[in-house]
Amino acid sequence: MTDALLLLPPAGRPYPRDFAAFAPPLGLAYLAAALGAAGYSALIRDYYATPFRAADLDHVLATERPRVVGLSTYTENMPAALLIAAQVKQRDAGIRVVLGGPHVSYTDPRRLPADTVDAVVRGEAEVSLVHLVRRWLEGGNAVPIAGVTYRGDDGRLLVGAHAAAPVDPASLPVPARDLLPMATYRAGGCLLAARGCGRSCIFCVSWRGGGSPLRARPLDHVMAELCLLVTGAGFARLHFWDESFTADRARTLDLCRRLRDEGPACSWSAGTRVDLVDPELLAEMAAVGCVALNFGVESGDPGVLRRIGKRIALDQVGRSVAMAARCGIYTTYNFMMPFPDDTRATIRRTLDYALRLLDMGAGGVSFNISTPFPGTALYERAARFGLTLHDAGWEDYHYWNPVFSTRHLDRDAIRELFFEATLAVAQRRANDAPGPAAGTRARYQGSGDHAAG
Amino acid sequence: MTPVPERAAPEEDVDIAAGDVPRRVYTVWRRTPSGVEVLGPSGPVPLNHTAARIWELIDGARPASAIIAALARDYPDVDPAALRADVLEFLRFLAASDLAVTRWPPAAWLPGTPRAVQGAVRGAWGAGRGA
Repeated sequence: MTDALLLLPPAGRPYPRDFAAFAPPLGLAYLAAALGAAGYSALIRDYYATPFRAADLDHVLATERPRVVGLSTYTENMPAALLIAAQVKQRDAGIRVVLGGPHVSYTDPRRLPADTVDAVVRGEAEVSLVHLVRRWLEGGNAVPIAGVTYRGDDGRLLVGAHAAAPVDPASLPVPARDLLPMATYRAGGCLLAARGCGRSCIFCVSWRGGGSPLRARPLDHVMAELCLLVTGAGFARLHFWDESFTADRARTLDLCRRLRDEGPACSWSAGTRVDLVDPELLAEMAAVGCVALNFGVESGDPGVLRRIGKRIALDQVGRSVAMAARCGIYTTYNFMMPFPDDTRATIRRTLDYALRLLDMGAGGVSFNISTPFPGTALYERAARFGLTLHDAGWEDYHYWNPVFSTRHLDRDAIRELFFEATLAVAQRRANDAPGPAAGTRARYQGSGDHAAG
Repeated sequence: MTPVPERAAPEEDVDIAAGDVPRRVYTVWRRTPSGVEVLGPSGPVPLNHTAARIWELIDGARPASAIIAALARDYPDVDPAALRADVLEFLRFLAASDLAVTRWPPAAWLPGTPRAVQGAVRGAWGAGRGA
């Protein structure tokens, strides 16, 4: 018997054939480790990395007999999470089902089906989930738990404080990667040096309360985990999954020193902001294995950048390309569209700017649609921003599908501009225009209308 | 109405019934004067007006039968049996081109005792804000 089975439900939409999960779900691995440290056994199934089949889940439920099933929800996998919750309850109504993750952290738990979902944990759950599991498995008084909404034994809904206090990063265990199919990930060697970023961009859930504070893990812990990944698990290439890896410059330099003095040989990459790098810092990072950095730029229009709260200037972006190139660090830059004040003109300016970055030496640029996910300011204050959220399933909330329109751009216009940007970037990447799919299907692709039979 | 695709799809992809719910795999597309253009795995794929109408009706919640019914309303003079066959064939073409799948969620997602779970599926997919 297993105390807790933690699942990452599959996306609620089909992925292309060549899709492979990029990174392990460290959040679930942290939760499994926290449960383990509290004396509870846990298993993980990642259905982004391995195909979901109901029959396989039935087998796991029958053989492992979990007492609690936890489902990690991102907006796009919410339908699959509810499907799995229903399957679990159908198999054994006595199994407690709890949902966690960003989606349910910012949506109303009272709207979830009461017959399949017993609880919701909001925000970081290493502490609150352990409290909930203990309450469920060991009994005791049904009391509110911070960050948890759950149904008491009498069916009454107990609502704790909205979110548990941020977890002390020094208390975080080593993620239970041994419970994950590590060989299947394209970038398996992922780790976190810190949580939070201290910023409050309108397209991110961290905008509440002035931004999620930066909370760094002790460097001893980071180094120990890094050594485990490199020397223990054999990863030669690591990726720091931090929101802003260089947010604390002095600490980043300390980490570089530790890597130089005692780190195993490895290369690594990270994501950060253009206003948080400088030549000395990048040189230090490159000297200890940093080979790639990813930056969020979001817009190539200064006015739009100012209004989304990004707090960077375009000259900083250009300088980051040159600085990184001098150190031999490969750089990629992410853009989003449309923001509330974007027009066709500002988006074309952004696309021109992105392509110019490639001319300047950036290794890659990419575009995403600025989808208003629940919890972001764009979602919570959609009307104030002039956004219209159209009728769409949660599975349609992803970065390549406009579920909204703005004051300036309807969905067709957003699609057209996104298509243009995506194609332009793909063409630059291929260095010539990709042709149509092999074999022209004339009758579908002709300019005439064949409807008349 | 619509023609036969040039290449046959793999056997597992061409199987579609009117009750199946198709869904787009590639979601980057735009309207053009001649229909729509979908950014697929090998580049832009232009679709004419009729194909574009079907493409837009593929919303992941509407079964093939509803797509057929919508097309029948658009083209009342077309023989219903021929129209049905053409729509299903076009959906097979999209699947063979990897632009869409013919049924979603996949059959493997549904357990052996489907009634209650089917209800959950109907309630979950397509349920967005507020759900």
